[in-house]
Amino acid sequence: MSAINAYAALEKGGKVVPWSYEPRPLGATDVEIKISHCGVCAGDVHAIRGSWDSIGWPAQKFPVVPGHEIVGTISKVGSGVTKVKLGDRVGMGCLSWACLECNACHSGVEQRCKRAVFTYMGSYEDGAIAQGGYAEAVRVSEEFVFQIPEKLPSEYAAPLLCAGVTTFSPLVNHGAGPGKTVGVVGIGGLGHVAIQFANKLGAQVVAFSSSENKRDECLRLGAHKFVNTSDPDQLRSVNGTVDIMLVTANASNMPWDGYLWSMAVGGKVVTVSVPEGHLPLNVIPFIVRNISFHGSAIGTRKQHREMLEFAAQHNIHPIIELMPMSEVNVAHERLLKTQVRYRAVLHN
Amino acid sequence: MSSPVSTIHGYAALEKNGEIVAWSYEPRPLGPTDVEISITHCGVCASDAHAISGGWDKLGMPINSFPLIAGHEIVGVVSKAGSEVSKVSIGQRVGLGCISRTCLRCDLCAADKEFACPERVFTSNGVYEDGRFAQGGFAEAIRAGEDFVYVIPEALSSEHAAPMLCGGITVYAPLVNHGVGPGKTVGVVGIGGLGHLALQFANKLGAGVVAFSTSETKREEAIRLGAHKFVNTSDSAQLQAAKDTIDLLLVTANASNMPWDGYLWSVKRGGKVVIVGLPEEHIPVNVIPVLLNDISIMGSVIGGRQQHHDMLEFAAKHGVQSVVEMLPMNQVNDAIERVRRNDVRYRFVLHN
Repeated sequence: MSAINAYAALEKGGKVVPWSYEPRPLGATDVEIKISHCGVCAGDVHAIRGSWDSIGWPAQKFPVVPGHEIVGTISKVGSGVTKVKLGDRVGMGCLSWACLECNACHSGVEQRCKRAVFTYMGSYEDGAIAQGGYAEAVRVSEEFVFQIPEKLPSEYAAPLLCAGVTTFSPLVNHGAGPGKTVGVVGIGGLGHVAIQFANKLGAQVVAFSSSENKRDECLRLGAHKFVNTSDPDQLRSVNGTVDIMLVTANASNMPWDGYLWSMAVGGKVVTVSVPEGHLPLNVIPFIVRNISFHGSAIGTRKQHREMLEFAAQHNIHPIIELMPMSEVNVAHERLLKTQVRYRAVLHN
Repeated sequence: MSSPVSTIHGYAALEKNGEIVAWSYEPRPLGPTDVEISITHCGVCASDAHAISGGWDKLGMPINSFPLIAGHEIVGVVSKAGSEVSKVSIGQRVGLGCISRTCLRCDLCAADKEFACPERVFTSNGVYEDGRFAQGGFAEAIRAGEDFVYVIPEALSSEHAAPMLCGGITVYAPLVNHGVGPGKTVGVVGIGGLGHLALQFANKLGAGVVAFSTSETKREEAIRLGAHKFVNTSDSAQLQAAKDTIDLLLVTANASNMPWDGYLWSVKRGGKVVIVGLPEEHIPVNVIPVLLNDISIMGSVIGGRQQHHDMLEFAAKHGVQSVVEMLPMNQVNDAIERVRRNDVRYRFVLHN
């Protein structure tokens, strides 16, 4: 058993530095992935900073190797592995284990299994700490790896393992498609992928952003309309039109009232991002427009596969900034300043 | 053929936040499918107080004009009927709730969502398409479309039926819409005008019922009304013990500073929070339990016309009874003041 070289935050709020750890023993149905690419998600940064401690998110154990948008090749297989083989190009997302026996797992929502182990931020039941993809390798159950379609290059597949499934899942769960209007709030790592998915699913797409300078790009990515939320007239022009509003941004001071009044009767607001505090929700539109508010986290395993095939089929590529894994701190700084266009992908 | 226009005497606030005084107005002409109700009873709802004070202005709730006769939990007797009225007859005891007319043709009306019909007219604080302002039930009479009056079952007395026309339907509709019944656990937040009816309905629908209240003093009454369990939300241990127990949380209270985190954590995976109380400010939503536990938060408002009929029959059949405090209609100011202070067990009903 040899150590895995990685990049970890050693303490809350610390920089990410070279580190290594002994992985847990390779179980019969485990595989080891030799990592080629790992996307950088805002969740990585929040985990390091403990941003959600005050609202009850499970506490983080340090050192932590973040990273849950992992692509690589199978380099080791346990004795009972049947779903993948050595050399397969696979991806791994936010979840590394679930019991596969409970109601949640049987309903296909493994991410809601009470015993679920996230790729980082937690430990296995035998005590081994789960570490993520800012590393040369990672070990995971074969149940939670996904074949990457041939047509999809690794650097584009990586962000889809979190940003992709996290936006694809609620879009299909809530029926995004022809005849529906989908709003996307926040044009960043998740939002720019959501626009593409929503467009290819056949929906009318409205992009909501606080800055005018993303207009052209949104239209190019597949939005049919762009609303600069700093302009009350533009917000008013979409009053009562949105069936599914996917909220991917998590800044404070977002114009939530404006988003809610954009909803059509019976519309659904789905948040996939977690702010650092509470969201101020105006109850009036909920009541007079019969709208509902939901959260969505990741997606089912089946949805990961469907999403990857869908992206390959429709040529949906994230817009990425590719950089060596050793520059992870640069990626984090750019992410914190919302400068990334639109997803940083680290490579080995 | 419409009947000659006559004056209706009532009690109105002449301006925003003004005191309610005796006032009268000329009602709109009685259309062929309109009825006039000679009002015997009218419940007092928190919305009446808000309409007068403009408390929801900053949240975007439409406010119409003054003078305003509030009141939309109306019971009385049909005293006049238009030439084509067929659903009720003169002398029948009927109720009228929050909506007095809609188009009845659109998809929303067909789907029991009359509240969202673009042509809807609120019974009080509403506007007809000819611009005429709709005055409400703190009065001797009112005119409304026959489609929106409901015959009161004999077993229900008028004073007990009145609060059901808004308070009752507002809790009954989401309970049945979300399939509340045996095997489900319903939480009711706020034991007041709406909450005390919600406890009874949920219990008679066969669900397990948990009452959430900030005051220990309501424990026995909540249990008497049908709660199987009582959680004093000012006690963090009790709130913690309620974690992950509720399928449907019906939030009827509208105070500020409610322990929303505790409410959200009490909801089971896949559960729902239905808000029917209208606070005057934004509510602080902790996204973590929403995300981790796949909770939906939604609003509900009144219910469809058929649901009003169903609810009244259900209440009559199962002995669901409003707990009311009666006051003569000319004491409407006192009633509104006490509603503002939450000083009522549990609904004022004004009578003529």
